[in-house]
Amino acid sequence: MKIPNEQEQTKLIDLARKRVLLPNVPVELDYQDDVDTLCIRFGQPVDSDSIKDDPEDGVVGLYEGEKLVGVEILDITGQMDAKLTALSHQLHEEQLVP
Amino acid sequence: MAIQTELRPSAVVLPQKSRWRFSLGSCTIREINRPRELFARSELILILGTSLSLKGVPIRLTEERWEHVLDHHAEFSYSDYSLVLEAIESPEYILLGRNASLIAVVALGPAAYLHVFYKELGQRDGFVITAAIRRAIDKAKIIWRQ
Repeated sequence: MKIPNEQEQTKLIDLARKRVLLPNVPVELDYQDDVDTLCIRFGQPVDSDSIKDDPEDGVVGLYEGEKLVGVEILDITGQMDAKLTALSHQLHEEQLVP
Repeated sequence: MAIQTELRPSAVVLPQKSRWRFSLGSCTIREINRPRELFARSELILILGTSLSLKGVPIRLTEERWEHVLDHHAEFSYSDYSLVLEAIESPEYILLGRNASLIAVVALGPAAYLHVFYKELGQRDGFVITAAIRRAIDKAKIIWRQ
């Protein structure tokens, strides 16, 4: 989900900066509400050493070949559990799962 | 009309109108005859597949989630979702991730480790969050190994 609201974008970028040192390039944000994950695509590939890829802390580099083109940050607003629980309830209410 | 059925690969017979793609794994399909745009508009959830985690919790991979993974992770193609589901069921390592999420890891080759990030919600549900291929694993975060 692209984020049209500038205020929301700023809030998400601020949260992202608390988790990872972002390069000084234009970025595009894709917030995935169902799992509370933010994908940040860089306007240009950056040095792969410029981001500390830390999957265990939910910071996952996005690569195209050897080039680092973005970063994915899990649980960006700290609501991952709540979002997934809501998804679980929806599945059971709609009887999509046993 | 809502249809809910469990399919196995040998039993997959798609109606000609269907636009959905399947390779393998069991799938829960709802309203299979509806074109893809209607799924998006009506916010129906399509579960691409479900695997049991080591604790026996069903971990679900939704179509929407897998499409997001494909959008951002150039290392995967559509049919690779089967690898993701297999990794959850038969991991070589489990790492502890952020906020008590788990990461199932399978070595795909030298310096190529499939990482599948998922979250268990009690005993009845869990979900794949994302997946990536990394060159190494953080051995300090291993909580289980084969």
